[in-house]
Amino acid sequence: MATPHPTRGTGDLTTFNIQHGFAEALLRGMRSSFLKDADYHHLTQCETLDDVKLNLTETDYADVLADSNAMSPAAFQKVAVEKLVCEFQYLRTQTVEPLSTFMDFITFEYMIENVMLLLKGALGGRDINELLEQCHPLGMFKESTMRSIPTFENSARGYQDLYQTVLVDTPVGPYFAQFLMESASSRSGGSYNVLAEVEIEIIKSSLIKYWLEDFYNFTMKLGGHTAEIMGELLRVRADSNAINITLNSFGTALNEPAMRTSDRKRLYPGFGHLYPAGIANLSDVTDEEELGRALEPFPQYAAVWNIHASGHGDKTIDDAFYERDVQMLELAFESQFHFASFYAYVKLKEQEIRNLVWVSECILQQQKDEIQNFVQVFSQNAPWRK
Amino acid sequence: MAEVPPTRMNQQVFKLKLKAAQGGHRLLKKKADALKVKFRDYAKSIAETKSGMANDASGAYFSLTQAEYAAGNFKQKVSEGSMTARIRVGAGVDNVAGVKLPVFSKYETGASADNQSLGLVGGGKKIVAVREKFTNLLEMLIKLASLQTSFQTLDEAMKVTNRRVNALENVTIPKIEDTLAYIGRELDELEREDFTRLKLVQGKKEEEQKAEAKRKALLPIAPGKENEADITAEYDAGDDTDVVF
Amino acid sequence: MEVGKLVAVIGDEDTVTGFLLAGVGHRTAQGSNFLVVKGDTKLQQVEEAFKAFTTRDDVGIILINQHVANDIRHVLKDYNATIPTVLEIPSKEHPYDPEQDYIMQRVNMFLGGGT
Repeated sequence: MATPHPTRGTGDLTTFNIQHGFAEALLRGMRSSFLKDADYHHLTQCETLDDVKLNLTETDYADVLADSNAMSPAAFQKVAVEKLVCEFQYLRTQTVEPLSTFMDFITFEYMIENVMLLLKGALGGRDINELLEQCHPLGMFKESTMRSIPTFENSARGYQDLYQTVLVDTPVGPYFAQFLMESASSRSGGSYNVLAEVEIEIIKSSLIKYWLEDFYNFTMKLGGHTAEIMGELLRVRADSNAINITLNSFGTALNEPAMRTSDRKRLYPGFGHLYPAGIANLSDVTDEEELGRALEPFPQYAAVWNIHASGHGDKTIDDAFYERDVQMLELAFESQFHFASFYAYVKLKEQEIRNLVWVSECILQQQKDEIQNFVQVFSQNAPWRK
Repeated sequence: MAEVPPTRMNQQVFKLKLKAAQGGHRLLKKKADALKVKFRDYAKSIAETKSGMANDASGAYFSLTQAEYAAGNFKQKVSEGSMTARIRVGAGVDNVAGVKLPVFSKYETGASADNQSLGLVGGGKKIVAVREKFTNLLEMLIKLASLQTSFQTLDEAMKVTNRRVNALENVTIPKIEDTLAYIGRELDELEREDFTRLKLVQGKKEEEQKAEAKRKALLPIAPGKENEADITAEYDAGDDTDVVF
Repeated sequence: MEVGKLVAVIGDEDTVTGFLLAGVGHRTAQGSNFLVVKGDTKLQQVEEAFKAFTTRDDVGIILINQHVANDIRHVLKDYNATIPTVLEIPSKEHPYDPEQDYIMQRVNMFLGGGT
């Protein structure tokens, strides 16, 4: 397994700050960069994107927006993500092991995303520069590595070369190895053309699963508060992935009886609150009703599921998950002496960017009725603060 | 006009032509009216469908925004890779007053959907909603495309028909009528000429007769010579040699 | 040869994504039946794509964003065949404006003043 063994623990109440106090202090300083209730209020009152931009100049986004002529939701998003990445990389340079590795782990998710994007683009013969443009900046490898990914020919041989020469050297290489190995063992025939056969989204889900498991093992080995808090975050994430995969597989080939056990089951992460009993139930689920029943023994998910199943209101399962995620991440961010706050920071910022895009899209498309339907970060009015 | 020899036969031919042209004119006019009615219908439904389409479209785009909120940035993945059209349009033909109008109909090829597992780890349901919204929009647009092609074809057909009606009305029929008038005139003229000629001949004849009569009256009539009264003179004995047996 | 004609799309990313999800997308070795028009897409590229779609005999309908259509209006004006049919559709950022649609101009002229 790829998990590096942490050379040093995270420390506890008395020793954490010796190693990681500075990085954490920096992070605490960024707490004030989140949009406040008043900011959201102003933003949702805007009539045009010009207004949105104007309002954003009163927030932490002022500097990055001043330098760009962004005037569309996508452009706002790009600028905001760049700001996040910039802050993240700054933080990363201030850290020492094992926090550095922990922060690298956060970026692996985006690397997987980027590799899949490049692979898929390679299949379609797209222009590499265009593809690089679309990659998430948090998941960038070296430029040369990125460029070489789509140069491989679209054949079994090409994929083998790709894996052996490029991917194996990247941090996400081990996940590919694991995926190829498992595919080879469950299928007859050459192992390396699975990349061409299997739907890219499914490969991605598998890789994400390996990454989650790897990340989880790493945090467990770190121990202390980190294992406690980060472990919980990852467990919940693993569970929601499992639930979502099951729910979204209905109506697709993945829900075919043969695929259910061979392919869908392999996408469920091997830890979490649902693991192993809940996962075992999930793998036999064929429709929403059965899924609801499989989740019944788990009160926290049954509650989320009921929001979805009751069907009333605009709330979907995604919104429910987001809401719960934000609540947990806020708690994780605000507690001390552990690494989870770094992860929480990235995720909360992502949520904020999502909100920003949502609000500006609503304004652009004149959908004022929908504009409030997002999950605020650090809101005084959040249901869990009342 | 001048090239038509003004004969009775041609007059007959042109009379038939005129009749045909008038009949054609009447029929075309009817067709033009029928087309116009249809055209108006199409114009109305296009106006309606287009405004409906604008609403549907904004709903569809918004569903995309919702899906992006739930599933993250998935858009670029959709346009990657090779794909096979699941929806094509079949082309049928509708017939309005003899004008063939192309009609599109949605046709599902049965190819399996691409990117089925999009949003697998979140937002998949929202993406399904996007699919539905855009499929509905597409159906509407296909309908609209039929309307629009029909509209254009009808427009074209109407222009042609109107041009024909006008041509018949303003060029062909007057031309035939002119020709007919010309033939009539010429024939009348001929008739008049004939009449005068006959008159003249008759006059001449009468004159001659009169002159003859006059001459006869003036001539001393040899009595008996002129008539049967002196037939025996033929047989004047002195004229014949005696027949000696 | 497949029965039925393709629906081609020229438009911004959202428009193309939406219709691809609906299932109109078709990409073979010869090329695809859609074009994503971005901020940096050259006008010439759009013109060429439009001309290419109009001359392909496997295309029945061309959907084009109105704001894109406005950019290549001169090409659209020269196009007067009935098939493939060119349909102007709204985009996310530009609501539909009937005034700019050639067909709607004709429709309104007819409904308004009669021919």
